[in-house]
Amino acid sequence: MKQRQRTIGDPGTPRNEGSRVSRFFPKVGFHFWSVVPAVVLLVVVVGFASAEVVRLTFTETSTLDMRTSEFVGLDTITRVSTDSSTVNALTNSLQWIFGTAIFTTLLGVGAGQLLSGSSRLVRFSRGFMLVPWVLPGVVVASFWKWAYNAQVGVVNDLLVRAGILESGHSFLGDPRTAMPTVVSVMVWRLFPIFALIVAAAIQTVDTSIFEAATVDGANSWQRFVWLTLPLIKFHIATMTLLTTIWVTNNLVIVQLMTGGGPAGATDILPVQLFRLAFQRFSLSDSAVISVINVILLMTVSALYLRVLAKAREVA
Amino acid sequence: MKHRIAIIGSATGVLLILGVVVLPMLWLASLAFRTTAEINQIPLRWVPLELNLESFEDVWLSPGYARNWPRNFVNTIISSSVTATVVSVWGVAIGYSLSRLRSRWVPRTLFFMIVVQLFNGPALVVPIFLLLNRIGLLDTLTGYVLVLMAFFLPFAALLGYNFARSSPLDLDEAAIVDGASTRQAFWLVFFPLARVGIVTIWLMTFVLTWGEYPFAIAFLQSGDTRTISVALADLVTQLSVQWNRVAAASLIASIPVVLVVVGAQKHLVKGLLSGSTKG
Repeated sequence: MKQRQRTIGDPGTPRNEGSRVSRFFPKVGFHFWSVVPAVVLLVVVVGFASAEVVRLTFTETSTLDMRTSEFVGLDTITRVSTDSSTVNALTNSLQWIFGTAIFTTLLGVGAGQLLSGSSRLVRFSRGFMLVPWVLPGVVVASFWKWAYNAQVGVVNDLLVRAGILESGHSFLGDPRTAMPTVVSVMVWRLFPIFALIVAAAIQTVDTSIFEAATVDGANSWQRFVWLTLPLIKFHIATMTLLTTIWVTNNLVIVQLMTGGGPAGATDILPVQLFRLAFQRFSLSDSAVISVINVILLMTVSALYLRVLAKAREVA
Repeated sequence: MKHRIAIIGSATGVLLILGVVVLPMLWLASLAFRTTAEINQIPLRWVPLELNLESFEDVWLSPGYARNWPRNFVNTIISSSVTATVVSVWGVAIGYSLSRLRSRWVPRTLFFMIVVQLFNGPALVVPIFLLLNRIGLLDTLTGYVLVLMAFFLPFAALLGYNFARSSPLDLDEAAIVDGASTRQAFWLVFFPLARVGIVTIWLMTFVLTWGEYPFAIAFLQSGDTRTISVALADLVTQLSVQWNRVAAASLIASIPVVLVVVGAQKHLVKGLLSGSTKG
């Protein structure tokens, strides 16, 4: 049932593996014990958990009384997926994901270009780019929640001082500005490492082609668009995909900054998932949202990879 | 002349980026040292009146009902270190095996590891919550750490694979030809070289699990078992938030990860780069 193991295809490889265990199982050794238990563990945990999620969607299970799980067929699924709050959450998730991905990519590529130099300023600055990504999500959410606060936050303070606003605007409390605000926080968190990766990619490019292009009369914008970008497009594409995955599953930023409000304006699927499980106490309803979120992630990833493959064909 | 403008332009850009990235931390530090009266003052003062320590005292030195910040900090250290240690060694071992084996199962296993990571986060919280409850590990550090290990192992294995693949095959191959078992080849030949890779993976895992949120908030609720993520979340979602307390808590909660960035930047960047180019 298990695969045949072969070490580096050298016919002279000795068969006696040395350890007592592998003397009983001559085909088994280090490689077996490092890989197989891990795969089994993952298959069991993720496989079991996924199966459970699907099973739960066909039941009515309460968080308060987890033993009793009543089978209800398609009731839970139809009720939850057609509920207006779910449709709202799905729309919000799409805005959340695409808004963040687009701006993170734009800022990340631009900043990456700026940070690919070798001046002392640039080298000094690069180190700090890890900070927004490395800080605990709760710290990031907390800081920005204060910063965007209508009365005491620094963003409003700056805007009022600059004369752009008359008095503090409740960015997180206004349904029109809430989603862009949380997106901006997620972009802040992600664009610096995006930039770091882009900068590293740019640095591997041979500078002689830039010199040749300059001699031919290309200005820096042209060099960037027609030389740099095509050469690093694979790195950009990978980072955008990773960004999309991280953002789709991200709970902490939105939950701590708005809790899904105001009036459901920032209610994304993960937030709704948690609310249904731990405030409305319905594990089965929450399971339906889990499935929807996973389907969303798979669809977005698949679409993205399809676009990427097409682009590679053309190139 | 145009060249000079370009240089000034890009320097300005870099400074702008640096500012945007660094100022929040500086602001947090500034807020943490303010009194409550100052915090609620409008308009905002940019420099605190004095370095007041009341927030730090309140958060870190006075435990209360369902509040035990020092304990929470220790909990987080334990959960992140244990996870990082187990996962980095095992991940490198897996990476080593996958890079040395020639089997059609290797690319499939790698693909599996990538796909499993799509399920990180809230997706599987509900069934795991049920499972932990059933086996009595809900609201325990043990249960939490086991879950973390399971979910970070694929991440570590992929990084380990990238690392192992970039290590020359000759040395351990030579050892095997000389009669060493695969186990000996790993521990005696590869492992000393792999130490760098293990440290990188350890640091990345530590940093990523330090701020972990969905599992922590779902599985750890008591004041004694919480991690700092949960404790801080509690502090910042109250009806009337005390921003200086939040800042004081955030500042100390960020120390370990900031230390890692400052001290081990190269490791983190290396880990990130190898992870992103796995294609």
